[in-house]
Amino acid sequence: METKKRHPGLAIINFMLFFFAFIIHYTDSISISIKNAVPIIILPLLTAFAMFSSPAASAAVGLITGICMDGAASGALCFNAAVLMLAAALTSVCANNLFNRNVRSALLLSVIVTLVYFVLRWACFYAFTLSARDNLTYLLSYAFPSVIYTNIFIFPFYFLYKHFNMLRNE
Amino acid sequence: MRFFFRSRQFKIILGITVILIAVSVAFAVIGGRMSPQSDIVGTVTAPFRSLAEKISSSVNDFVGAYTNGEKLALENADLQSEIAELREKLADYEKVSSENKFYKDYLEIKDNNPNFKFAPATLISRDKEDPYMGFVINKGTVNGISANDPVITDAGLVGYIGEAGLTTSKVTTILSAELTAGALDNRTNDSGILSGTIELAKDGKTKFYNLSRSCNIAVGDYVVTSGEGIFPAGLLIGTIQSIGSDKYNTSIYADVKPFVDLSTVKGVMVITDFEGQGGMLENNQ
Repeated sequence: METKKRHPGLAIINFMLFFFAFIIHYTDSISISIKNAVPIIILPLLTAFAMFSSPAASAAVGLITGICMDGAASGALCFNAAVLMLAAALTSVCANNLFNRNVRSALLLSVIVTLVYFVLRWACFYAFTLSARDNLTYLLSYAFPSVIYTNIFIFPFYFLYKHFNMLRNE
Repeated sequence: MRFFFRSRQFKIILGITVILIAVSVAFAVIGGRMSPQSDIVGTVTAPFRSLAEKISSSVNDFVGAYTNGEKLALENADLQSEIAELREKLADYEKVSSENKFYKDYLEIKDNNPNFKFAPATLISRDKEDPYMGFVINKGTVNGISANDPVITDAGLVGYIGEAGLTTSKVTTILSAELTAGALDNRTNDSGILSGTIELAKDGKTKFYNLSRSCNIAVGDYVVTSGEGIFPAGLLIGTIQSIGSDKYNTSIYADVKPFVDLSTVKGVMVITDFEGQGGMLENNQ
């Protein structure tokens, strides 16, 4: 049985990571976008967090992060809250039961989460209001480059959370 | 894994998801209003987002001052060529003079429209996933702002209030496909419809379409609001960059570059009241 040590410092670092990811995404002055590729670094961060956490904790963090994202974007829909909560919980379940916790699994899970996020976002906000040409433009010029760019961030976050997990299991 | 899907945890997660989706659907049907959780989080986090925006802006300026040495040299060379260009432009005095008059007229918008009521607001966060460059401002219904209020800067039209919350509001820009407004060529008075497309939004442009085949619009003309729709008449939109005809050759369209640089906009004015506001909406209902 795994013995987990309490590390209050890790909780603070976790909070700061999500806080900075949030600030980078919603603050106008800081931009890490490359042309139309806008990385949502909260997604790989949440994926890495969920891989080393329980489904309940992952769902709670996903829900809070999603609500904050909905609040910051002032959207009428609770899109981020619902999607991130489910994505985090399912990622955690998959990481605990189906996958090994290695970097390839992390990349695969991150790709799945970001793809599902962007496809659902497109389906909810754009698919039925745009012309076929605009839909294609959105998918190819915005969504696809953003998915690729976003997934680059899984590598640092995976190794960071792997290290945190080792610290907790010591 | 099967145990998880039968567990109480999963049922709670599913329950919350169903509630969130129900709230989403309800508020999507109502329209123009933020959902309660967005409103609450928006209100609570608004001061932090304002602070974060100011801090990141200061850090950006500070770092920029030390890292832009090479850039400044290049800028200097650019400025030299710009001076030469400006000298050429001086020759075209008449054109400059007429433009000047045009801008002066715009600056007098408020004097000419004493019925306009303004509410100044500042950008506090931007939804970077929005290809139309929508953003959130720090004013809401408590400041007299409501959905569909026009948003402008001294340079021209920015968009309208897509969703109004208690202390924050979401601005839908003129690049958005959700916006449909009457517009006209300021020189020829040819009227058409203004609406965005994702393809044009990529280049920071919007579309002025449904123009008659006999129209006389030209590249460089100014486009202003016609007063049809949610905007008052005479608000500057942008300049015509290119002209084309639709695929059935029945009407003309033009790509318009807005006067306002939506990627750098910080401070805006919301027109909370003007003569004829909501007229179109009431007629439609």
